[in-house]
Amino acid sequence: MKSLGLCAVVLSLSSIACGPRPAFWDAPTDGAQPFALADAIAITDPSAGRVVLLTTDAARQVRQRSVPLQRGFRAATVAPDRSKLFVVSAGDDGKLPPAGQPVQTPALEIVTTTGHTAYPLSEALDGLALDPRGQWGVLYAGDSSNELVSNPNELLLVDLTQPPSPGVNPVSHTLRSFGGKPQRFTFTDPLELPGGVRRLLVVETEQDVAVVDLLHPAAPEITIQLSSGQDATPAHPQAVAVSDGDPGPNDARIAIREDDGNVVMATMLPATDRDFSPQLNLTAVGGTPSDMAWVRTDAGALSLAVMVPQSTKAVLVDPTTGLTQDVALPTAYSRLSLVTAQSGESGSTGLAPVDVALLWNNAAAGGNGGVAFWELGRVAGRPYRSVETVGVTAGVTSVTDVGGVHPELKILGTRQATFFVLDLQARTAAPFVTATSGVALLPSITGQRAWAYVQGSPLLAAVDLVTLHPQEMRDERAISSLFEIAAADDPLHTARSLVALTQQGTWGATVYDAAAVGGADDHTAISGILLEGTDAP
Amino acid sequence: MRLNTMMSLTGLAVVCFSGAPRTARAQVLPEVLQAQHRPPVGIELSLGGRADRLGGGGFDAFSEDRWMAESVLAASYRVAGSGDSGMIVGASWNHGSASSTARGTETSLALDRLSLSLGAQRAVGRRLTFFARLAPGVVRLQAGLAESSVLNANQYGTEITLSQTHWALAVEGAAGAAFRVGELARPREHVLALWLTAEGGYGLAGSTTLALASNQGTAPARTDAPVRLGTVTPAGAFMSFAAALTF
Repeated sequence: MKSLGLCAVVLSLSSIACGPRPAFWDAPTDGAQPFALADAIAITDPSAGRVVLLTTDAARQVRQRSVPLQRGFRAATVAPDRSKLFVVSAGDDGKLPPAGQPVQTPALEIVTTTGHTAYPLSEALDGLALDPRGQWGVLYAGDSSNELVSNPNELLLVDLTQPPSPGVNPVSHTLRSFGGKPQRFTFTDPLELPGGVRRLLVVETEQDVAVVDLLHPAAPEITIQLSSGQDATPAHPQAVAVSDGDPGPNDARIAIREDDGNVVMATMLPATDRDFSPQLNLTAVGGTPSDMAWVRTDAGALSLAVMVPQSTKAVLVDPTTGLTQDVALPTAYSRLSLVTAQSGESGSTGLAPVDVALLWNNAAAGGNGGVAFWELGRVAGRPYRSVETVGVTAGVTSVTDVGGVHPELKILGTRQATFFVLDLQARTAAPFVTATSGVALLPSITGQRAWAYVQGSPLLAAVDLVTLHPQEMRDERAISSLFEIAAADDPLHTARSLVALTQQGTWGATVYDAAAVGGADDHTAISGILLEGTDAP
Repeated sequence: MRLNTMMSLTGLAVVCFSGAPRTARAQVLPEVLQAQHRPPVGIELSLGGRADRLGGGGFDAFSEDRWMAESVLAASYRVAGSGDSGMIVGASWNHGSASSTARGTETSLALDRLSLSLGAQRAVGRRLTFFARLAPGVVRLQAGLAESSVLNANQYGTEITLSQTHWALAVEGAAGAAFRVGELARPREHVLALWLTAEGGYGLAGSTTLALASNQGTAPARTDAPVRLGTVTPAGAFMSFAAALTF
C-alpha cells in the first residue's frame, strides 16, 4: 500500500514548487574535527558551516550547541590556554554566494562557550599562529592555500585584545623576502630592548629570520640572513630561542639554530635609524645542533646550551664572548627541556639561580632512548658529573608535562609497550607496561591523574599520579579521542568530565565523571552528535 | 451508464419473454414487470493515495521535499438523507512512510492516522457529487535512524538503532468531489457504483520534538541521551485521490 502513481506525480510537482531541504542534511561529516577547550569539546563541522560545542555539567548531562560559521572554512586551532577556538574562513572569496544570501568576506572567527566574535580579513589565508600569551595572532598563506595566486610573505597581524578595525586591526605586514617563505612563528615575551619594553615576532623562513616589532607591527622588519660563515652557502634556520638577559636593555638575545653546525646569536643593541638592531655572532658547535635553550649556569651566568648528538655532547656558549664549553654526555641526547621550577631546586651551588635541564632522546627521530638530568650549576670543573641518568632505557618518543598539582611529573611515551611517569624531584621514573604499543596518554589538567587509551579500541585506563595505581575500564565503543573538560556549571572547575569520543557515523561520545572513573562507572552515552540540526533545542 | 442501461433492458426482455406463454394460456393481459433495484444502503468503501505536506524542521531529516506519500483505506455510511444529499459518518486509516539519509545515516519515518469523519454530500447530476468532511482522530509517528555511533551498533549495518514513537490528537477538514465512473446493477440487488474521488484539505495535529533514543537496551550504569532532530508536525495541507465503491 504505497503511494499511487498519481500521488507520485503530485509529489514531484510539489517538491519542485517547495524546493529542496536544507543542505545541512546532505552535508558529509568527513571534515569534522574535535578540539578540546577548557570547558567544552568543540567540533568543527565545515561542510555544515558550524562548530558544535559539547558541554557537560556535574551530573554528566550533556548540552550541545551549534555556532554558525562563515562559509569557506580553512583552518581551526585552539588557544594555548584552551579558552577559545580560532577558525579561519575564506567567506565567498571570489565565488558567488548562495542564492539570497549576502556575500561573506574572509574572517578570523573566535568561538567560546560564551560567545562568538569575528575579525574581518582582507585576504583569504589559511595559516594561523597564536601568541602563547593570547594577545596576538598571525595569519599567513599556508601550504594548503588554494588561491590562484598568493604571497606567502604577506602576513596579517591581529591584536586579539583590541576590537576589529579596518586597516588598523588586523594590520597587514609583507615580509621582505630573499626567496624564503615563513615556516615558523615565535612570539617573544616582553623584552627590555633599547627602545623600551616590547614584544617581538620572530619569523623563520627556509633561509633567514625576520624580526617584527609588535609595538609597530606595520614597520619594516629586521631580516637576519644566515650563512655557514665559511662561504655564501645559505644556512637554514631550525629553531630560535629568546632570552631577555639580565635586567636592563642591550642584552636581549635571539639564538638561531642552523642546520650546518652553527648557532647565531643576535644581541639587540641600540641603533641610529631605529630603536634597536641585532649584532650577530656566529658560533660553531662542532656538529649539527638538535636542540638548544638559554640557561643559567654557575653564578647565574647566562649561556646557550646546545645539544650536539652527533658528538655525544652538549655545548655551552657564552653569549658575550662566543666561547664554547663542551659537556660530554653518556649518550647522544638530542632534546633538552628546562625543568628548574618543576624539579624543586635551583641547581646546587650558591644563591644565584641555576637551571636544571631534562635531557632526552627523541626516539621518533631515530634516537636510542634514555633520560638524564643536567644540573647546570655543576658544569664548571666537573661537567660530566653534572649529568645524572635515569633508568629509562626505552626510546622516548614524547615528553608530556603533567602540570596542575603535580608540575614535577612528566609522562614519557616510548615506542615500546611502556610509558614512564618521571618525577623530577625524586628523580624516579615509574614504568608502566601496556598491552600494546601506541597507547595515547592524556594527563588531566588537574595533575591528579592521567588517562591511557588506544585509538580505535574501547580500552581505557586511569592512572592515579599520586599512588601510581592504574585502574582499567572498558568503554562500550571504540574510542577515537579522549578529552577531559571542566563541567560548565562549576565555576571553580573542580567537577570534570571525561569524554570518550567515537568518530563513527555521525559521532557519539561517552561522558564519565573524571574523578569517579574506576570507582563508579556511571556514564552518559550520546549518539548522532553531528546529526542534530541547527534548529534542535 | 451504458452498463446500467444494458442491464435494465436485459431484465425487461427477460420478464417479457417469460410472461408470453402464461398470457396465451390464461388469456389475460400481459403484465409487464420491471425489475427494481434494491435501495442503496449508503455504504462507501474507498482505497487511494494521499500526499501530506508535514511541518517542522525535523521532518527534513526524513524527507527531501517535506511531502509524505500515504495510502488511504476508508469506509463511510450515510446516516441521513438520500443519494442526492445526505450526512455521512466514516472511519479511515492512513499509512505513510518517508525515508532518506541524514548526513549519511539512513532515516525512516512512518505515519499512521486513524480518524472518524462526519461529513455531508450533495450530488450534482448523476455523475458528480461534492462532499465535505471533518475528521478527528489520532496520529502515530514512528521515527528511526540507522546510526552507527550508537552503542553496540554494527557500523556497517542498516538496522534501526535509534527510534521514537509519538502519538498525537489530530483533526482535519477536507472537501472534494467524486465522479461516478460506472455502476453494476442487478435486479433486486444493490447498485454497485464505482467512483473516483479527489479531495484536498488541511489537518491540525500536535507536534513533537524528535528525541530518538537508543533501542539497544539499557545498562545499569548508563544513561542514554536522545538524539534531537527538531520538531515534526504531522499536520498541514494534503490532497488525496481514491477509488470508491458505493452500494
